[in-house]
Parts: sequence; C-alpha cells; structure tokens
Amino acid sequence: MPGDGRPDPRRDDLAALQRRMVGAVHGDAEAFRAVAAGLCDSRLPADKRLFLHLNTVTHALTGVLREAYPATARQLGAERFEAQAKAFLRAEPPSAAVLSRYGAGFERFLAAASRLPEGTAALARLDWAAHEAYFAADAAVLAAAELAALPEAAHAGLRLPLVPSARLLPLPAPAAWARWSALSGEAVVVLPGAGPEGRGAAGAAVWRRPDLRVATLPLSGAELLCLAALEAGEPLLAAAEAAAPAAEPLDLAALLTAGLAGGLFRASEVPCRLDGQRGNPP
Amino acid sequence: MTAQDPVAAETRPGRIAARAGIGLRHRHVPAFLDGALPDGCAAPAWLEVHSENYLVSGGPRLAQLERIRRDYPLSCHGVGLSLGSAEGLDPDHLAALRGLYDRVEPALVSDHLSWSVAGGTYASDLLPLPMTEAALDVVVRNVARAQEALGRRLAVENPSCYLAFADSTIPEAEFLAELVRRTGCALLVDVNNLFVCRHNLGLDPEDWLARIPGEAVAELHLAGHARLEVEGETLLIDDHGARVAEPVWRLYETALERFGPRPTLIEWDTALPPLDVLLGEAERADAVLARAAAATAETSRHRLREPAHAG
Repeated sequence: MPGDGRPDPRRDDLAALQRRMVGAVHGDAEAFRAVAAGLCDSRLPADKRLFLHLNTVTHALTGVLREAYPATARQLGAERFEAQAKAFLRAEPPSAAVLSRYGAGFERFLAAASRLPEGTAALARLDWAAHEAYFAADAAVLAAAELAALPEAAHAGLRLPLVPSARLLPLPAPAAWARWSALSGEAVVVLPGAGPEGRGAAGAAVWRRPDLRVATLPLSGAELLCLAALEAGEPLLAAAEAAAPAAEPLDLAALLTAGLAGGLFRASEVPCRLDGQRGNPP
Repeated sequence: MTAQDPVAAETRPGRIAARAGIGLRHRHVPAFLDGALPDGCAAPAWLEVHSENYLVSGGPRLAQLERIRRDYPLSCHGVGLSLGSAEGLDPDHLAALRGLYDRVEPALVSDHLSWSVAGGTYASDLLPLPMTEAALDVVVRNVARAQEALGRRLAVENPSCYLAFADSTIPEAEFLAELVRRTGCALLVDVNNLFVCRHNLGLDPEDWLARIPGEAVAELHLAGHARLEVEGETLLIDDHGARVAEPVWRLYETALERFGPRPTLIEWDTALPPLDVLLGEAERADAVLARAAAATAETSRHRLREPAHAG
C-alpha cells in the first residue's frame, strides 16, 4: 500500500465502506441496505446482525444525552425524552469519541424542533451549563481575605474574572431555575440567592466550586448584568454601573459575598487586577 | 523481558504484575478514594480506566484519577482511537491521549482492532473491519502512528464480532500476528470476545490462541456476556454486564497454559454490581493465575533437570 497522501483504490474502497457503515448505524436506511449486502448470511440474516450495531449506537448515545440532561429527561419523561434524543442524534451525530462533549446544541434542538415551552427549554440550557461546568478547566479562586486586604480606594478598579466553569444564563421563564434546582436533586448545590426569590429568578450562575461540586445561584436582572460585565473584563465600578438598566437595584456587597463564598471569581497572578493595569506584571 | 512478564520492562512507572485488576467505574471510585473496600475483600492488584472518560479539561474525574493512581498501578484502555479507520487517526484525539498518558503515566495503554469514525461522524461502537490486506495495511499504518504519537507501545484488543464481511480473506489471528510483526505492538487478548466470536461466527479459540505470538500478549480481559434471541437464533452479546461465564473461565485457563500468567482484567460496565462482587471475580482470576504461575515454574524446573538426566 502506498504511504500517506498517495492514492490507493483499496484504501479508498475501505473508506467508502466505512462511510456507508457509519451512516447505516446512525439510521441511514439506504446505507444500511448497501452494507448488509456485503455481509455473510450464516444462521442469522445479515441485516439482523448489522442492526445490533445500530441498536448499540442508538442506546449508547441516548444514554449520553440522558446523563447530560438529567432534569430535562425527568421533566419530559423517559419515552418523550428518548424520542427527542433519537431525533437529535440522527440530525447531529457526534464527530469525535470524547462523549463528555456530545450534546451541545441539544437544548437548541429541543426548543426549535420540538416547540417545547420556554420553561422546559430553559431546563435544558441549565442542564448543559451544569454539564459543561463539571468538566471545565480547573482554576485557583479568589479568597475573600485577599479582597479584604486591599485598600477600599482600590475596589472600584478591581477586575474580577469568573472561574472557567462559570456559566451565566438569562432565564425568560421566571420559574425555570426553581424547577431545575428541584429536579437536579443532589447533583447540584443550590445556593440561596442574594436578591430575588429563586422562584422568580431572571437568570442563574452555574459553576464548579473548589470542592469540585457544581453549584447554582439565582440572579436578579441587575446581578446578571453585573456578573456579565465582570466576566467581560470590566472593572468593578463599571460592572456595577452596567446593572443600572435593570428594574431592581443591585446589592453589590451581597453578590460579592455569595460569589466569594462559592469560589465564583478566579484568582490571577495579581490577585485583583486594578483598572489601568491590564495583563500580568513583567 | 521475561517469558512470564513480557511487557513490564517496556512500560512506564507503576508496572503491572501478572495479577488480576478490575475496571474502575465511577460508582466505585469513592471506595478507592476512601480506602474503604468491602469487608473481607482483597484490593485488586491494579485498575483500568477508559481513556476517553478522562479526556476532560478539569474537574472531579481527573482529580480522582490522580489520587487513585498514587495507590494503584494503572492501565488506560481506549475506545476511540479508531485504529481501523481508512481515513487515518484524529491528530487532536492523539494529542489529547498523549496529554492524559503523560499526566497519569499508565503502565499499559490499549485500544481495539476496530474502527468508529468515518466521514467526520463517530459511532459509539467498536465496528468490525473486513479482514483484508487493505484493512491490514490501514491498521498497521494507524498503530505505528499511534505508538509514535503516544510515545508508548500500544496493546491491541481482539474484537467481539456479530457479523462477518463476505470479502474477508485473512483469519483474525493471522491478521493480529502480522500486525505485531509489522508494528511491534502488543496484544490484549479478550477471552470473552473469543468465546463470543466462537458462538456468533464459528471462530476456533484454541486455534486462534495457537496462532498469535504469545510473547506479545501484554494483558488479558475477562467479562460476562448476555444471550440474545433473534428469530430463533441465539447471539452472544459482549455487554460486560454479568459474571464471567464458566466456559470463559475454562478458556482463560487454556490461554494461561499457552502464554503463562499475564495481567488480567475483570471488565464490568453495565448492570454494575456491588464492588465486592467485582473483587470476588478478581480473586478468582488471581487464584487461576497463581496455579498457572506454579505450573510455569514447575515446567521450568523440569526443563532445567532434563540435561542432567540426559547426561
């Protein structure tokens, strides 16, 4: 066989067979018939044998989606969730073997293809945020004592980036966060919100705490805007001002206290970068 | 490299002895982290994990694995290299595996004689290859590339089979023997897969065991299987969801007679039982290994005495 890059009809034939076969086990009926025609028929018809692989792939991937979207699965019920999961994996099969990454976009698929109520679509977004947070990169977190050690005059210029696992989600359905928290059970640590009652949260933060557990905090509209500004690199004063368009006032101290206690803010080489001192010192 | 332990000399720190290990699954991790194995159960000699479960950026899984590997020799068993892919290997996947292996330094790394990616789509299954010269060339090229990229000798596992291609021309054992000859790779012999293939496709396990190069066998796998009735025919499914079947234990003894003692894994992935059941299976494998080691030693003594008798 020629080395890489040189044409080889035998290798090309195998590549074509494999493309047909991967289509067959993902439910392409025409590819299924074509592959089955090249198999041995002993004792059991070839199509029955090939179907075992289709069934394995379907079962495995619906299981992967069920693990990534546990609250959504509970909300929809097993039969309805499985039907949606099968439709998704036929439309968007995985491209690589790392299945902890498979399922991104299922929440959009559910909302678009299934015309789910906004509340259920929000559950799916929260599920995926928690899934991503669980596997996200590790990072040292900012301790409250480090912040307290800084002179008060420096606070306005502080930049407080969020840890890599943090996800901020606006929630158009106000009851979604409370419903998701209840459905998630012990898999997620539910923190009391500093501002709104959880039942009426305008948004939520989902991240992985230093104890490696995924946590969630309900957010008011003002808190969501403030944290989004911090994540975008705005200094603390500007982030607080970014919350002004929200209907309710921002309790910045309460938000920082909750965030610091849960390890929401990332430590950096300069623990709290001051405005005008972008980047790390030489 | 010795006849009893042909691979240990080539592997990384924390070498794996010819003893029984178990597949580490998430539900059993706390018992190993806390050192709280079930009463009366001996600790397994080593642990094996599925590599792709740990290809993550951070979080609990990696932290737990790094903690556990301090106490147990580790084997990393891949399911996603897709060694039979005619399109070649995914360089990103290889790089991610290299990163993991450099981090946890497994004593053994392995994957399967199968494929799972084509045309940019992944099938979460170990799909079979036609046993042809073209497929052999593809696997040789991919295994060589994987070993170079991973910086390690790779053990390649024989598949469990449910179908056969009409244009296959090379017996599986010959295919694997030629793969070893051309790449220097090791072999992972899954004894349950041999039994499943015998039932489903008529493979002759004894002939298979006789044809593969024994010195390349780095590890053995044992697992349970399920029986599936389809149109009046029974197929065996390699579901890793039950105790090792008695005929598979007997075939395991035959394999050890052929190869001598080898690191042996108890795999159990579905319908996961309490840990004491899994460790009990490992203790049984250890007992078989001990008998095989004694038989090997006796044979060696016999051979040493023979020249004196002759003289």
